[in-house]
Amino acid sequence: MKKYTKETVVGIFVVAGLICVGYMTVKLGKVGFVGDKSYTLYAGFSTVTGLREGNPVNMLGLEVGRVAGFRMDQEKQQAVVTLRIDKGIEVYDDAIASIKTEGLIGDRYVNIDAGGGGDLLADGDTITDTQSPTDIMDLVSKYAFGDVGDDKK
Amino acid sequence: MDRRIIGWCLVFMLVIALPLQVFGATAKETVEEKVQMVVSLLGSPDFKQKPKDTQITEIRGIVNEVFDYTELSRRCLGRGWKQLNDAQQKEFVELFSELLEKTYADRLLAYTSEKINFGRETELRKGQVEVESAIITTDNKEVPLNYRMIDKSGQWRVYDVIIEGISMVQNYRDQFREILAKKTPEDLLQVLRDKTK
Repeated sequence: MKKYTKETVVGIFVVAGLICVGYMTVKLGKVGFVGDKSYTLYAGFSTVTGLREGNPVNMLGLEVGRVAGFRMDQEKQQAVVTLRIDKGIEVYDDAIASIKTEGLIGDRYVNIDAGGGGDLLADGDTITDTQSPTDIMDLVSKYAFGDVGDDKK
Repeated sequence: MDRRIIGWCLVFMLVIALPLQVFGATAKETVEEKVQMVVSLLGSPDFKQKPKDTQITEIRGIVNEVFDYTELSRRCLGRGWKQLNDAQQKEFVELFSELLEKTYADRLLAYTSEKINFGRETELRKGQVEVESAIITTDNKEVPLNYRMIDKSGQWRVYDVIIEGISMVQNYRDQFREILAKKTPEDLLQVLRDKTK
């Protein structure tokens, strides 16, 4: 009688433990049913160095999707990235997609500036204005172009 | 009777052929032509003698033929564009082009003898292309300078300039978005008015 009870208790704990692990995996690893809650957009870059499948797609600093795959367009000499974007995130045809790095040596991610002056992009459309990864990007940007808030004439 | 018909056919063919020639200019041809015009102007000795204002007016004339400031303004504001009413939009386009002129006039006028090479034209989507070019600086560095152009009723106009892979539209978009997040469209116009006084 006692032997049964001990083993049963252990068994229950193991099952409970597995359920907890499974729950945590789904919650933290985002392994879920992403299927119909997202739509696909494509973006062509002249180079996608450092970008990997599964890297995040960000907008205004928030994660709005994932990099789902890559394809080479030999005619246009571009690497076309498949982006899975959350439904409800609006991206327009004047959007600019750029590949950036988290911090100085972090993961690469695709940043989308949604635009807004044109038409909405639908499932399967392509973001045509893109920026490939560059180093010290913000510094060069400020240097090469003007600053609206600048006081110099 | 026969001769007249042939005559009319020839006239008809000529009429069709001529406009086709005019509209045949590709995006690359359009921008290359204008850039070479500006370059020759900047390099010519009598141009250098003229007062700065005249120089800017002459360059502006050429630039306005190939730059689409309205398209540029719309893209730089993104959603913000729709926040402006018609009158504000018009004023924004004027102020923004003045600001750009003020910002880049000196850099343009500092041109000495850099060579500009044009590369290929890639289609981004129907009616939009990117034309590649590069400036060979005096110390032999190659600076990639690409033009993104849009087809507006048969005419190719520039709506973005990409230098070293960085888009001008993206640069201004970030700045305008920050301003519009905290201020009204009228405030934005005031910021531009102050910068272009």
